[in-house]
Amino acid sequence: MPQPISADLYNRYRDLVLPLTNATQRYEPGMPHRGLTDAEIAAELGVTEAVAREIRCVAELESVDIACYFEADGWKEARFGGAEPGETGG
Amino acid sequence: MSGDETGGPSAEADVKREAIRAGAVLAGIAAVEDIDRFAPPGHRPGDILRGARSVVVTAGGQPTRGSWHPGSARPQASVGYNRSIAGNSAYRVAHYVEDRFGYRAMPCPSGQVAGHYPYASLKLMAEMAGLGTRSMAGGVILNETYGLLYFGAALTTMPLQADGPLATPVCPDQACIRQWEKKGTTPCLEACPTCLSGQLEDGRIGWMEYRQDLCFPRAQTTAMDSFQKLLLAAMAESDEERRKMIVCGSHFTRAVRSLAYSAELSAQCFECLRRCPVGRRRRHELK
Repeated sequence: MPQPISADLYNRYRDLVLPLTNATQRYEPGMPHRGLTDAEIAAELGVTEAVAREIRCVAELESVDIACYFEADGWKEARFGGAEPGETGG
Repeated sequence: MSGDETGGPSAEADVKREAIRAGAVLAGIAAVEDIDRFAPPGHRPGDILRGARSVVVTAGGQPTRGSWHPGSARPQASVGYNRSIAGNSAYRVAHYVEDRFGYRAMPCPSGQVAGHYPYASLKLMAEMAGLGTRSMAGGVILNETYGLLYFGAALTTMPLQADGPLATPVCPDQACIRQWEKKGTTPCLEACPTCLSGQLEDGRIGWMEYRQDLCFPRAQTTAMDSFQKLLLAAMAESDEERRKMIVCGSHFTRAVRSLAYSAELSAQCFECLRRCPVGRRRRHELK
């Protein structure tokens, strides 16, 4: 059963963990880009895999401001209004 | 296991037909060794089913062609995607492989193993099964005929002849190449410059970067993350009246309904693909 980690531990590693994850994904044909697994993040930071997983999960949620969720519908409707379905705009 | 002595259908054709019978629009087969070349340890088919050798990937649950022509963005977000079809057909294929051929099989869990990380990448499996290729639109796998598809997978210890990845990329479409040459952008990049960036080189994808963290609030506006964040905000709010406004407000209500009703949990944003020309012809065939 996963245990919650301390805020101290989380705050110490939070900013280091996110850049290692799949939060930003890069694709270049033929190149092996991918985010690190929890086990790999753990090895990189010198913590256990369980701790790495907890930091990642909390950081994934915390990294996005709640306002982005409130504003998303408005953004989508605005985009929708400016894009004809199926037209390339080219 | 191609063909048999009686001249009957091959095992591969047989399991794919079963997937179609179960509601998938397409099915393909990937070799575990092909997937393992890209998937990291802990997220490989063999980590989920010991001794897995093949993966039967099912595709379906895509928006109807009419869903691409809604009166506003919200209705498509509510019904544009049916997660159950690809998963159900994979489930049925897994039983079929066990009953008909006597090999172990199990559906690949389609959800997350923890946080935003999946058990395994269904996109990678679909790619290795020849059902489509990566696109500029966040690496979504695009199929030449259908465009956007959703995937399920049945893992099995049965050795099956793999379809393998497609030799020719589906993305970019010729129309996108023309737009790139004229304007230095593509329909998907233009639609969502927040989440997407990239470059075409010589008519092909040179590189593509996708910000999954920024895509989350748009693609999953009222899903689990939204629920957790609002719950935390409500718990932290000391003023009872303000707490009520959060919990009884329309966003939290929708988030709670999403969890219960399971619609609107994912795929709530189609903007990067709304103008994608791949699969467009099929969408425009209907009156």
